[in-house]
Amino acid sequence: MQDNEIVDLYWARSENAITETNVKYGGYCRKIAMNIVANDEDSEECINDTYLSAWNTMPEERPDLLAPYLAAIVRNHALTLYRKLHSQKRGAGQTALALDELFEVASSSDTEDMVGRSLLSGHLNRFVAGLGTNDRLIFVRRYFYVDSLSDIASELSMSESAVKSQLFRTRQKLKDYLIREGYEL
Amino acid sequence: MNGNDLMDALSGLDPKYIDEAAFELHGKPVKRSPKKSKVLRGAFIALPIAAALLITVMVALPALFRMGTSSDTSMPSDTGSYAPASEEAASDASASYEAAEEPSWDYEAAEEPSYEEPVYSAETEAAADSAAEDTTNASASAKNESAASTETAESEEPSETETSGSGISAEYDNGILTIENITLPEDISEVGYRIVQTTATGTEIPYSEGSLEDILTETDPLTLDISELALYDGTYTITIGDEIAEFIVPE
Repeated sequence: MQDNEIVDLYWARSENAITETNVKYGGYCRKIAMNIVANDEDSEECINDTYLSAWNTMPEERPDLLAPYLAAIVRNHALTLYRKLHSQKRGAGQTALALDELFEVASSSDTEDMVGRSLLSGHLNRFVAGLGTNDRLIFVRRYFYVDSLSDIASELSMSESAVKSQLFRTRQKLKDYLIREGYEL
Repeated sequence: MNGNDLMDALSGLDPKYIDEAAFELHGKPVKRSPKKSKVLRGAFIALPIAAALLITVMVALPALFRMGTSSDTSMPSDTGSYAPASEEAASDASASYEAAEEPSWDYEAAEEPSYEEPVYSAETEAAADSAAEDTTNASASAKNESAASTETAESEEPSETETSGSGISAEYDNGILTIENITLPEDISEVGYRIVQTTATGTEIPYSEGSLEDILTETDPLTLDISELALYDGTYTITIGDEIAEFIVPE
């Protein structure tokens, strides 16, 4: 079923909307949730919350691409659950490692409010738009999808050390970019 | 702003970038695999060696055949092969050209000169003598080299003193150079590097040199960012301290 047809089901308040969403994007959402919470039970909880959020936001929202829309929702739910379970602890797991890497870019004690994060999203989009395709794929897989370095290396047919080096350089570029945009890091 | 803000703000990434990277939905991007690069690199190295061997064989074989071929025109060349036709000849056919004291199967006349006669055998003996001498010299030098390598091995140090740097290897991948089996001093601030391109004619063209710290991104394994050099495809050598490794930039 095409994305617009599934969105139409949401707008029509048809219960088949959830079923069709699960058929087409259940595995995709589950992968994102598992990358972040690393637990079957918790990832299922995130998936259920995602479908509920999708049901509550459509209508009103009519995304052109359903996959990224669901990906962002499940990611948010997974990060919320991760933080709830892990508090400020840092430990093993890709989420902790990815967060540590992003903390290398910015580690101020001041946090952004909702408006600030919205502005920051805009800056990040402009930054990512300026990256080469390969750098962008690595960056998005690592920090949006929270993939492991070995998975990214396998997906892009690169060595793990090459992925690690590219991420290091991209983070340096991001840091320089945010400083130029006036952020205090 | 901190890492948590960045992580959360990434949820607002443009959907097209999220979708672009959705390998679970669209499959993995098509890219030349490292294995294919290694195959190409292996072919790049193996082909000249194979060509040299082929030329050697093409030059040496006629000479060998001239030594063992008789003047009789009814030789296997008429049959299109060198396999003898008779059973007697078949038993003789397995003998080497140098070992046969009797003439080959198709002629028996002792008065006919054989290519094993002293005229040629003297030459072959001389060649064998010189080859034996070369072998002796080679084995003697090999013994000296092994004695020298034993001494260095006893010190339990990697081959840092070998200027050829046979121990280290370099692999180039998309602007990143990874060096294996290299030992660096604790203070690398004074370690320099030099990258030279080797052309097809053997000419060396200096490409870049400087402090290793300028291009270093990781120390274990040693990972160098040389993407800004924008190297063209070809063969290069990198010298780090006293160690040298060759790497190939693919097309």
